[in-house]
Amino acid sequence: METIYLLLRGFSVALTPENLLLCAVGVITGTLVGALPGIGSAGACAILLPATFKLGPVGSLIMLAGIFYGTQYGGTITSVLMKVPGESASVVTMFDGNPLARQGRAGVALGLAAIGSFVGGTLSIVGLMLFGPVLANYALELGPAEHFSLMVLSLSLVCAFTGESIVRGLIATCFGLILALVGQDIMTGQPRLTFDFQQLLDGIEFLPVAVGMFGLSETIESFEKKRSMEMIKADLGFFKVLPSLRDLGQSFWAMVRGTVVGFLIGIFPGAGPTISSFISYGMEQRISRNPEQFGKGALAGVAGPETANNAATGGALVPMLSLGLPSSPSTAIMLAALIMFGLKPGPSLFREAPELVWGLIGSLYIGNTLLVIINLACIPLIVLFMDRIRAYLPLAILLLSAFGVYSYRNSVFDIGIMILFGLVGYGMRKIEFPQAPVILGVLLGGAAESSLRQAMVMSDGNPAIFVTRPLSAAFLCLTLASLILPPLFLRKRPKQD
Amino acid sequence: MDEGAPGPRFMPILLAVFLGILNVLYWMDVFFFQRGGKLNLPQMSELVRPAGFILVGVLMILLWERAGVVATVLIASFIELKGIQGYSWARSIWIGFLFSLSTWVLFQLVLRVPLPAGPFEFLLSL
Repeated sequence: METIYLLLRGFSVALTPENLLLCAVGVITGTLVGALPGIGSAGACAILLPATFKLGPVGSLIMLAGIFYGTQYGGTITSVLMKVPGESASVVTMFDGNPLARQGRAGVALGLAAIGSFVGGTLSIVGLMLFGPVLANYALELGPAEHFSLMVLSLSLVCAFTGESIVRGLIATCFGLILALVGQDIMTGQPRLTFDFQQLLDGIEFLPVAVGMFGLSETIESFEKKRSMEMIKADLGFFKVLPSLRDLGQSFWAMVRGTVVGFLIGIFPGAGPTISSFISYGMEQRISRNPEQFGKGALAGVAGPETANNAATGGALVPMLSLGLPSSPSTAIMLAALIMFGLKPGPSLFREAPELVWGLIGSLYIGNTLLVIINLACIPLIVLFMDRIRAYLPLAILLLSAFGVYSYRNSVFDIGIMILFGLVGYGMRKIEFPQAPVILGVLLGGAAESSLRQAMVMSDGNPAIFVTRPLSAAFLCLTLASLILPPLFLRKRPKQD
Repeated sequence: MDEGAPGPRFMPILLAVFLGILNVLYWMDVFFFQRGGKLNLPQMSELVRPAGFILVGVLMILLWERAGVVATVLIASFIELKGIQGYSWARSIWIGFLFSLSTWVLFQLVLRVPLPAGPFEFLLSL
């Protein structure tokens, strides 16, 4: 009963004209960003974060969340029509969506993807409402030792899920943690790793690093080769994208399974929409009566993964809101937004800022409804807009990034940091080092160090506190398992193409 | 400082030790398990445009406070569109003006970010 009351309160926040407008701007931006190859949801969130500073925490979070789940809808359009995924989570949709488009059924593929995304997105919010507050209540009992171990577990899971090599993930994490240490020490005020640069005394801000790594590095990479993108001509009017009842019936269970898989996988740090869409596709292919249809235009091959990648966005918000732990770069940026507004992300957020949390949840329902309408009714408009804006996108990204980063502290030095990390991010992409652990390391580094030192104070300098407290020991055991098991599992698995 | 609390050097040293161990593991990974051999590095000719884009960014940093953001955006846009993307003179200048004006309106007038105006200081009184 209390949940329903809180949800209604959330709707009263989300339905104010200002927040409604911000939600619409967020989901439309997300759809366009998702449709445009060369910039992902994390990049878009990072670039637009400074523009949301004037909106207050609720408005800012509503808009950023809109971009986050809007990108999962938009990525499908280019996957189906051009065979170029706008988002990594839409790669799988390409396998069957594009063959469907070549068979003259582009509208059905896009319509099913939109409806599946709506189902997955909406049901995952129900999951968030049910699990989020419960998890937050448990998390309130955690002490500094448990907090530290939980952050270590979260970082190790990101390493385990992103990229092929855990060692590379761990190196990237350490790099991020070291960046978080730059500046004055939180307890003594002594400068660390500043190399006598006055500008580094305040530390390296999260924003320029995130914008550089995710916004700029993708753009730099897009300059390497001129891609030719051929779009399949299709009639995408409203009635053409509405799937028939037969199509919906064939995809119903794929959507249900996609929702469950997506939500559960989305909760794990590092997993998120991309992995959930691949797992859903594999599962659908395995249980299908006609597995040979997959790759040639199977409806379940579009509906399942599209539902899963949207359900994962709801799942990803569970640890972010309940534990203050980001599970992906996009949620890390949302978390950074909360910190920049002076809020303390974590379990107390549900109690201390119920308007923010439930306002966000209310806006997720509204945003998903807006998105299914936009994606069923406005696909021709989106395609036209994409075609016109694509040529100027790199310049727009560079300018928005520079202005956004500058507006945070009015510092040209931050623009320099952004370009430097754009280069670093580009280099990391080329040598196949994952970028997500760096961002999470920068974000969690300060809090992790603070918890570590508080725990050591409590134990009079005895590090055994991390293994003698049961929950902390359990988190550390899971950390070890997350680092040891994946390589063993991969080694035992026979090599496949 | 609290009794038993690690000092400010604790975390940097801990991370440095971890990084050292991880580097050894990384090279073992590359040399013994051959997991580093499938890098898809770009050709030198493919790096010209990315390098140009980065140089435009560096130029923006140099000009930002000296020339003001209006002129900086105009120059950076023109170089990016004409020099890197290969658009016509007229289109590059026209789009440059459009970007310059729209970023000024959005950030200075709408979002109230105090931007350096340089020689275009009269715009601040508008």
